[in-house]
Amino acid sequence: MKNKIKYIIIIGCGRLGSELARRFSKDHNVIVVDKLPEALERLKKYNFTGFSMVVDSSDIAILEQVKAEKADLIYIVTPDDNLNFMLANACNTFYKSKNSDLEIIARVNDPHKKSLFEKAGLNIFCPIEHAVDELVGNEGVKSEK
Amino acid sequence: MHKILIIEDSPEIVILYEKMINNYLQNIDHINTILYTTHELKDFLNNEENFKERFSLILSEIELHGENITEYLEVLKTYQPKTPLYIVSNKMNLNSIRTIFKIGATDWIEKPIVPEEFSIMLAESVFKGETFESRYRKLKNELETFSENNNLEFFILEDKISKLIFDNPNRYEGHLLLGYLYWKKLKNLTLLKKHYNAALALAEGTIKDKELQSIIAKILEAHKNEK
Repeated sequence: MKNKIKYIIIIGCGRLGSELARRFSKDHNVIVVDKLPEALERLKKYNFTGFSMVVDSSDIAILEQVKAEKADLIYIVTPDDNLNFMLANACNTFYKSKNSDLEIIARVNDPHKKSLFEKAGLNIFCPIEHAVDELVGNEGVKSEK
Repeated sequence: MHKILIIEDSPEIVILYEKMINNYLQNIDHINTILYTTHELKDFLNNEENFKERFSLILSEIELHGENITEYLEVLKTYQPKTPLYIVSNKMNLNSIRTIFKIGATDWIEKPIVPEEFSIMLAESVFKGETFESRYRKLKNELETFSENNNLEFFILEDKISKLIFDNPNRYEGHLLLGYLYWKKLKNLTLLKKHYNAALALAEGTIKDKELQSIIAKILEAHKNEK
């Protein structure tokens, strides 16, 4: 029986993005993009296998370049909340309607902006809230449809 | 056995290709050959041993470490005319797209190649074509059951074996079949000898199909004094 190899896009290759890339690239087809070549260098230390691309992530054309319409999972994990919102919203508008199985997860760095993402119907991951909740013993990952 | 040739300078991408190939060809015998540099590609092209068997698929970048390899791919395509050549690259421009199709590339896929594109590529290459061994076995069976009185069957079989030789010019097996066909139908000893000698030369003395070799050797031995 063949394992389903998923196509996973990770936008932003900081500590979180590179760790996600390392984990997923073991079994799936992963592409990681970042605007800084140095950020992608980090992947080499992690035995990452797959594609990496230096592109300006603030340009919405990036979604075409990475073939977002074919993706199974898109992680948008740059340090810029506004950029994450813009890209996640664009993915939701352009691709989610065509592919209902597509999962889009955006990182929210500032917990105060969480409600904006939620209003837009985006799946989010908030590391600060997650860390705080861990410390006080609650579940930190919220997934809203 | 399916042979797949991967020409790519990035080890991370090669591992991904291998992972996808192994996933899609789980129950199919296959072997991957990987070339990372232009130097390795040149050496590969210079060794005719590499082309004794047909590759089922060639998957290549257009540049290796910044060097364009179109001219080498053109040579490779002349050695493997029937093998689908897929260019997976995002370093293409209008001219290079025109050139790669001119040299006979099957398709160009922009990086990143996604699983869906990869499975289509395999479906149109590995799953489409028969392996050399299966074609040989099929033709050998047809030759064994072939009726000497049927002219049409002779011409069809001659055509099929000639195609096998044309597709695999470095393989000896087609010559064994063709020589034996000429003997069976035409009792032409000269053609049998010619093709048998061609097979021996290409096989460098070692013919794996001992059964057919011994049949031909017996015929030649029985008629050794005839011109």
